[in-house]
Amino acid sequence: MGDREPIPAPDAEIPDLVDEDEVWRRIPPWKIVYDANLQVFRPAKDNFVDNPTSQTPMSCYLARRCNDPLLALEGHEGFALVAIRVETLRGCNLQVLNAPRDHLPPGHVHVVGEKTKQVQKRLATQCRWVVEPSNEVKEKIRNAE
Amino acid sequence: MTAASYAYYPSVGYARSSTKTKEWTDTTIESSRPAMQVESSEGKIRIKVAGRVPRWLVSTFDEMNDLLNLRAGWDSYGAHAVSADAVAATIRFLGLVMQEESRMPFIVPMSSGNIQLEWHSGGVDIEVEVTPDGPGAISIEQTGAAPIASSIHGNLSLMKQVISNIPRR
Repeated sequence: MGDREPIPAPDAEIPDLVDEDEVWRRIPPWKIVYDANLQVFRPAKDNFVDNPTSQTPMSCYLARRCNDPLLALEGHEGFALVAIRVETLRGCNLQVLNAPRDHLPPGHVHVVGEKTKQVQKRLATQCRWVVEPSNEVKEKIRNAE
Repeated sequence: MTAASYAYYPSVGYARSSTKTKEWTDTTIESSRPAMQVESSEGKIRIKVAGRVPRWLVSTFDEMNDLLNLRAGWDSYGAHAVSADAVAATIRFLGLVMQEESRMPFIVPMSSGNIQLEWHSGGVDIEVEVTPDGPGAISIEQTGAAPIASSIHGNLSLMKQVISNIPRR
């Protein structure tokens, strides 16, 4: 028998989580649009979904525990990073649960709940950039129109 | 690795491929619109155009190929590889709604392997999810107004009209 991956502890509530907390989510360069109506580059709605392969809830990092944006982006060259306030997530009936994994940076959490198109739109338009897409990516996006 | 290619046929009439073809669609719905056939087979896409190759097709060609080269997990969150059939269906759909002067949509690969087309300009937000079977859910919203449509059925003409009214950059 081969080695088996350890079974992670079940997701758990974060007792000291407050509305002002933020979670970080990586954004691949292929899933960024220029919204001329808002005059901003922003993530496409489809960034905010559960994992379609493992069926696990949307992965994020609790900002105050991960602490370093570059840690969240490690190994993912060209990706950007957005922050979403817990207040926004709670307003979308989404719950943030602690989901530590040995192979991932500290502060890994799952955002649990239904990500309807309206919820996705809210997250896509109300998040803020922590690490913006590169100028090269922005130029490519503008030229694609 | 998958790839898309297009062949330009300056005269009418198509040379049908002898390989098994998943689907052929004649997208000629206006006399001024070039006839186009899109073949998706074994992960490869072949596009045949009778007449002038539309500008939107030329400008999306590299982008489509980039998407087809994304491997499973490309988003770092378990995304499926982009479906070649969904890309072919996207090209067919664009062949139906794009005019020569239409503003190009953003072509966004989805975690599911489908393609999302997005226009966000001129006070209008349009999003169309294209699956291997063709366009599915659509959303047309105008700033400050109720959504106009939520389904492709019966709304193709409306979509063409709305897209044609979006100003080009």
